[in-house]
Amino acid sequence: MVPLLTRGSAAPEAGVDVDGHSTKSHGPTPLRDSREPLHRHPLIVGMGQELRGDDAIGRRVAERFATLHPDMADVLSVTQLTPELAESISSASEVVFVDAREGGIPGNLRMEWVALESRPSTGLSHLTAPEELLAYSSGLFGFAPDAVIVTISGSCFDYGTALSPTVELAGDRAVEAIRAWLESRSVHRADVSAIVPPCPESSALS
Amino acid sequence: MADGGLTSRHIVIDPVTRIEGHAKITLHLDDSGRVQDARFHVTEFRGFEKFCEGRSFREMPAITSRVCGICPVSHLLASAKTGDALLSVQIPATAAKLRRIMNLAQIMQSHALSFFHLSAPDLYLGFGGDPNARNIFGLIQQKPELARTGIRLRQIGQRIIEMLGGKRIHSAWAAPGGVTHPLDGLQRDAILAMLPEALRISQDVVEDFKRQLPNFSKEIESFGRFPSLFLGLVTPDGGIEHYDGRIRVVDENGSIVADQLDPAKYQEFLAEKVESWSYLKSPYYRSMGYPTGMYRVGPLARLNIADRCGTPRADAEHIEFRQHGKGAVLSSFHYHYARLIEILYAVERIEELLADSDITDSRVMADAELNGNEAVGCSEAPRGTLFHHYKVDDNGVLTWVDLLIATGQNNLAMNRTIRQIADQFLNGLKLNDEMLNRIEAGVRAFDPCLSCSTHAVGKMPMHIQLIGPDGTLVDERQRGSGGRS
Repeated sequence: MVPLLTRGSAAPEAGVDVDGHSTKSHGPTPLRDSREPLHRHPLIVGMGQELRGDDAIGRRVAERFATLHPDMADVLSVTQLTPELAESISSASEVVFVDAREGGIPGNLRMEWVALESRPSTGLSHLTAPEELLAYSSGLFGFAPDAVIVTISGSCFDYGTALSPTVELAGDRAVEAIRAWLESRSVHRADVSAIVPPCPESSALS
Repeated sequence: MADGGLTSRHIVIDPVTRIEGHAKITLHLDDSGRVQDARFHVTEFRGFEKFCEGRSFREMPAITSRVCGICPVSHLLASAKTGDALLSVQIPATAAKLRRIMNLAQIMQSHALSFFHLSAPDLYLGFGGDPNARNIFGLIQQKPELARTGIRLRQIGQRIIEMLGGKRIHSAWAAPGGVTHPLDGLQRDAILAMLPEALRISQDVVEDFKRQLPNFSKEIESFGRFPSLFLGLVTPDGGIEHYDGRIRVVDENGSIVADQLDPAKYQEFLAEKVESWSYLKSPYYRSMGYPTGMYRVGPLARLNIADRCGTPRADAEHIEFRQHGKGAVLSSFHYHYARLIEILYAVERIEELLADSDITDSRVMADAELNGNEAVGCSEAPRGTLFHHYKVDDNGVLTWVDLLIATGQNNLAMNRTIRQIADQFLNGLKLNDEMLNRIEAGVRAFDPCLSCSTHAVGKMPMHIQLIGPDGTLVDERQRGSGGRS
């Protein structure tokens, strides 16, 4: 992958995790735009297919976050990312994408930086990747906020509207992880991987 | 996977992205190394039809609009129209106009996604370039205004849909009998205020594209330029139609093969071939048999079958467009061109519809009970003609569902396009970027949509394999990573 539209230095930056340990972030250095408006809000974008079982977990997490913490972030719940979302993203202070993941232990939770990097064309897809949205946001609207993606390993992607119990429980932890990350942003820039609540093997496998 | 008796070498291209179904392309070579056949495989099972059984037909607009994240309005409208037929009602005229506006707004935003986001990197950065640079990032760097206007067109289309339906996507606003709420004067004026910008953008893009056309003579010649039938809806007097109307079929000479066919009787003139290697059904024009009855749907077909568009600017462009064919315009490359003309038409037509004096009428829903047990609803989705066919019991519970989607109807033509491109650009038994770029671009001309699949992260990079006659791997390529691992 080729760095393209940079947002500040690409060098890892020292940080502090929630336990006070010195860390290094693993993604690009977040950009602080000097033109940043005073009233930017965090944006949460949950995505997924609502009729395909656990694929909907990203949307359920976003919607639950909106219910529990209505004043903390703007929330979008979408089937898939599309380019025009870039304008909303460019107005946000930071963005949290939430999506299902195929593979891994069902219910396993990950939080990763979304790098502002060039990716090969997505071929035949109508899907816009988070990285592309950040590029749109930066290249066309002048600002790309810091962004992370929270993914939850699904168990069942068959046709249906119900989540599997393990994944539904993981959704609660995802809401908490997002809240913790957003709160930490107001204090210091912490290593995101340290903020994800632990996923006990027993519950992940249940 | 069945090989259908083909011999020698197979080149497998697995260009699957992280979300949209599991699709791959195989190129089948004969003993002399020429491309004998090409197949666009879709191995993601479309189980929505079974999923819908047991539900009330009244739920179907809301359910089926969730099938696709790209064209929810198309399923919404086809489903609502099927419901109208089950109720045996004629919906209020205002409701029909509002549905028509929403469909045109959907075409505007979907075509904008296809052209500006997916295909513009090919068209403006070159087909032979490094795929790492030939993408939307490169486009933003080199043509930021083009990328910006593409987003703006999508925003306008989405905003119109939102104003009508209350939500940007997956609205259940269209329901059997009409629409759930009318348009008020303020909303009408707000939509009208956006249209001059949309008109300017769409005119500029058409003009720019026409200036670029001489640069694409090789692609126009090789990207699916072959005789076929073209099928779609037309008005009673042969004009372009996206919401209602009847079916017209024309051949490669532009001659009308059949006209004013009742879409509700589609099974009388269309048949579906099921192949063992794909879950995507391959419809064909029944009276000509398989595969001679191959037909194309979508923007190219709509402009080939229609005598006129019916709006001034689109009519002028339509006349010029038709000059690119002796009869019908045959090159699938011109799907792009047709898409841009349809955007222009959509903007003009929306403005006309909003000028109707009854467009804000409050009577937008016909009340009725179930009056039939089987019905078909049909409309033109951005990618082509869409049929919904339901059977219900006396309580309105679905017992059988068939969704005939545009991507499926273009399946045979996409295979033919891939074969034509590969035959021209394959050099020996080594996969090369130039050929792969063009195959991808050739398929993209049809704008196939497999968005009914899952969106889980971490799925499927582009995987290309060249397999020799003895089954050994001769060459293999992998492009990028569709997701995270």
